[in-house]
Amino acid sequence: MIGRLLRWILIIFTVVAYQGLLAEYLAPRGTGLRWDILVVLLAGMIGGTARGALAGGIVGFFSDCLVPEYLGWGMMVKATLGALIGVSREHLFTERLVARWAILALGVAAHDLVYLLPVSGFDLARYGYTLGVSTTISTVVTSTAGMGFLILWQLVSRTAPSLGLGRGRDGLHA
Amino acid sequence: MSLLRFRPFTAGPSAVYGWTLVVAFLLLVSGTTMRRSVASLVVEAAYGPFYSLHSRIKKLVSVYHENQQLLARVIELSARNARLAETGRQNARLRGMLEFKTKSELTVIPAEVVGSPTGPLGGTVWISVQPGKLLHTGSPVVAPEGLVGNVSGYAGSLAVVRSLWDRECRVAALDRRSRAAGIIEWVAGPHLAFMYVPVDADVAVGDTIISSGWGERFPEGLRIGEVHTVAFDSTSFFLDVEVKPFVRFETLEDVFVIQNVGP
Repeated sequence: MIGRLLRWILIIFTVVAYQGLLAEYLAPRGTGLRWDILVVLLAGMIGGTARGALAGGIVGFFSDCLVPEYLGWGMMVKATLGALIGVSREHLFTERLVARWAILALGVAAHDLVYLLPVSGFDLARYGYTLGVSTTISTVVTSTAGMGFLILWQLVSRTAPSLGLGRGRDGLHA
Repeated sequence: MSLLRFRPFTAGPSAVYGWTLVVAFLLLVSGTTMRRSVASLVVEAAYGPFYSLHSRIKKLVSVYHENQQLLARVIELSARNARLAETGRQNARLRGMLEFKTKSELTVIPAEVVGSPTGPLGGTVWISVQPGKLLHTGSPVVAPEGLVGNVSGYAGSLAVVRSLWDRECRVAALDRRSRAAGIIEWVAGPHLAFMYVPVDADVAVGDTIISSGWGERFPEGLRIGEVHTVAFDSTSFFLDVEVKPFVRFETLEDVFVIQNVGP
């Protein structure tokens, strides 16, 4: 129980630290690595529907606090995203790397597609520009980084028993 | 069937998702004041330390860049200061030379040192005069500070000067204060020797030694050096006097060749 709690605190810590320290440089104007979305996607892909939804809710809440006018909206979108990714992991064939990359990319794009519409004040020109520029770049960067993380995760899961670090189970196919 | 099995708030993944949506919806429909209060609390507690750290890092980076700029400015100003100091020294030297030339009743030719200045381990200096100026072997060479030596040979505008550090360069000299006479020559060591000064002569440390003009090789009154040590040897008829020359040979740059002297 305490281990799980610490894990969640660590996840929140990385999201808050990234947004407070690094986002300005690594994702200026949303064009770059969107760590908050990536955390939700990875939680859904590795942990399943419940963890994806919970991660989405928590991460969305902390992200929304930076834009209090829409507090709750990002939480809702990200929770849905996390849950959907979890469902896709459980019901789709995601063994191939390309399939996983596609799911991650679709996840980022879908998030922005839904989230940005009210945030842009339903201004379609602004909405389209943001989707066309920021989302395109961040989708490629974030999904590629997510792939790297997943590959690393698999390697660690396989080598963990020999290193004495854990049970060595690949969370993607648990 | 799957829709019928969907139990949003009771168990399983659906429950987690359902409750998350409820919380999100409640936040979304709460008043602006409420939302801002919650957000400000979270931002202050969670993001505050990171924003503070970020601000400090940015300040440090800013200070670093400012420091680099100031360092570059210091180096630039140091270089400029060194150039100005060199100009000042050159100005002082040229003023000294001008003053020397004005005061001197002798006919002098300005010359520039082109060869390695001499020191205790060497005895010659190469000088260059303006083309067309007549040089003579044996002509005294002086600097604003004092006597350098005499010309031992020349070819065109270049001349070799036998300096005071050459064993062959001997100068008839006297103590300006007591008029005690002797011969200046280099024997060994870092100083010149004031030779053949009788033991009962009045020579003291700090006295200025000048050329006496005897022998007519060097004009009278050229400053040579300052008495550094005076020693008495009971087995000798003469004092053992060491003289530190006024001319600093290692930094010698501009000299004058005196023309109208000689037997």
